[in-house]
Amino acid sequence: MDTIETSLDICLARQKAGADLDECLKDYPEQAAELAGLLALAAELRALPSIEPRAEAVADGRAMMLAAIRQESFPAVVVPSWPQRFVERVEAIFRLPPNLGSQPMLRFALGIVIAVLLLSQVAVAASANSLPGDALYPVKRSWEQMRLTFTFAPAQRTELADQFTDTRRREVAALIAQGREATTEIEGTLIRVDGAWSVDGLSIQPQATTVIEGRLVSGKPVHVQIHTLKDGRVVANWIKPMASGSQTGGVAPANGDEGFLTAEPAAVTPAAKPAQAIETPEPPAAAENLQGNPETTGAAPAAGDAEVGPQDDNSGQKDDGAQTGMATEEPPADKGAGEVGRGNHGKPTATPVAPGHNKPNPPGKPRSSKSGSYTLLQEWRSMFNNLPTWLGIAPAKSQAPSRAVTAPRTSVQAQGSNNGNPSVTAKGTGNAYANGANNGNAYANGASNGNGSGGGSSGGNGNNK
Amino acid sequence: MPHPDAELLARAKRGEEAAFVELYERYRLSVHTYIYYRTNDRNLSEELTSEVFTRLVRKIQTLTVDKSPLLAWLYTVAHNLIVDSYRHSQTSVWLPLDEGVEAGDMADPTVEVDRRLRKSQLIEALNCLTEAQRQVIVLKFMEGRSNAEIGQLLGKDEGSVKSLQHRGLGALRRALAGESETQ
Repeated sequence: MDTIETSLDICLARQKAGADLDECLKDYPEQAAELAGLLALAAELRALPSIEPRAEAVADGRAMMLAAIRQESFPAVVVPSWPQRFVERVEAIFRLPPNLGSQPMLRFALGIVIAVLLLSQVAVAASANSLPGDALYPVKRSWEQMRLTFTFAPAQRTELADQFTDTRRREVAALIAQGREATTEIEGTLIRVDGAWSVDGLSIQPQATTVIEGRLVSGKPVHVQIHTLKDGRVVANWIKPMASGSQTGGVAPANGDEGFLTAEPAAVTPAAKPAQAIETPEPPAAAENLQGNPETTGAAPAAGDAEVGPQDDNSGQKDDGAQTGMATEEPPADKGAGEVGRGNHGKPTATPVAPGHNKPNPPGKPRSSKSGSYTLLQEWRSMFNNLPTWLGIAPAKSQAPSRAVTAPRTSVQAQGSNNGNPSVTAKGTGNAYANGANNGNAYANGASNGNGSGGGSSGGNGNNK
Repeated sequence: MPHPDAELLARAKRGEEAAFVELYERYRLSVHTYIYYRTNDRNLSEELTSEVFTRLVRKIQTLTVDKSPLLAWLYTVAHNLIVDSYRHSQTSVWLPLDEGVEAGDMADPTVEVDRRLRKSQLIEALNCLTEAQRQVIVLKFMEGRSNAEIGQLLGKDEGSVKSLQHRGLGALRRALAGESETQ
């Protein structure tokens, strides 16, 4: 049996169609009483006259509406803003299937990825004008490195590298102009004229602590880590020939004015290249000997309590070590530089036995000169180390070469006339730089005494052969 | 399937007068009939009908046909205007003589008076219904619309329309019989 609603609706439809009311009620005898009353009422309602508004009232109503339209302000064209369009576009790109798109975690992860990409682009854009020492400078360098990495055409890659080299020069010029202290690296052609050094026209000043790796030749490209000072001077932290192969271990030009030899490779990286140092004992006769010029001496820093062989002026004596003159030299207190021997005219022989302590490791200098990413890593590390300073939660710390600030006072004590057993005791933890240009025979055997650190004492065997 | 009013509403939101005019022509009779069978006042019905569409202009930016059909919204506005009108006049329902009926048209004055009285009773009884019942009764019996049309205009399914129709007629019958039921 139909419900009363359905029965009523059917009867109303038949009533509207002109059917007899009694015929309808016969089909629903149990509901006939109620249906009869409702159908009669419905008939009354249908019989009510249709009241239409008058024509003038319709016109007035339309006019009032149009007047209201003219008083209202409507947006001319609803165009979404560019962030809205961007979001819609991103959503269209990353639109997920319905079963995946409803997962909140997946949407959240995508949002994070998009946010990171956006922030990265913002950081790259903001870092365009940053200088060494700025918070965003590592971002700038990383972006440059990434561009180089993903530029595969040789011509474009070279062009890009040249562009970045120019950028470095402009940065240095800006640092000098602003009188800012900062450390950065540049590449260029090394020129030495009248004792003055310059790299692509930028005058740089080597220090006693400047680490020179390999053999430098005027007119050849070099890679230099420089530090700009507030007074506009530029000092070199380390310098090394570019990896062309012709500079390292080569023979300097015969003309001493043109080329110059500053350090034997063995003296610089005794642990890495001891054999080479031994195999090339004879410096070129015409090479400019940098005796007495600590600024141009190659330095073999002995990290920690490195043991450094005697750098006395043994005058090339090849006897059993009866060195008559012991070079006892205090490093400059202000620089904390290590021992610098000079003027050794004998055969240079450096036999590092404490490789772990004699590796040159000046601050900021990469251990591997071929690792560009290492430099970037250092910059990132520096950035994070300085984060408290930038955030104002730690006292500002100068980024001047840590060598000048932190290099300890290294005491090198020659043991007087030790009858061929000059002992050099390096105290403290600083870097003692053995003069790679010494021509005498020196053995650094600090580690052999088991005192590689903590003020170890080593005997510089006079039996230098 | 998009609502038939969706495109018109979108154009109206941009301020297109033609869209408003089309909406006016589409719904003015329903609004007027609804108001008339609640007020039994032709002048007031015309006045309030104009006001309903003026409010449509002012509120057009807030309307979305997804939430509520436009006619249901127009009926709600009309209901509020009727309530306000009665509240301000501080009068009970005024039952004027039909202005469209001239004295000369009356074949039998007694019958005509009875007819008008019954009509007034029906209109008064309509005010005893709920808003949903009243809307269905007006659309079904005064405008002669089908259940499907009513459902689309008011955003209801046909089953609900049938139920409201049955309950509305029942309430109206009881109201006319002297009972009072509003639900």
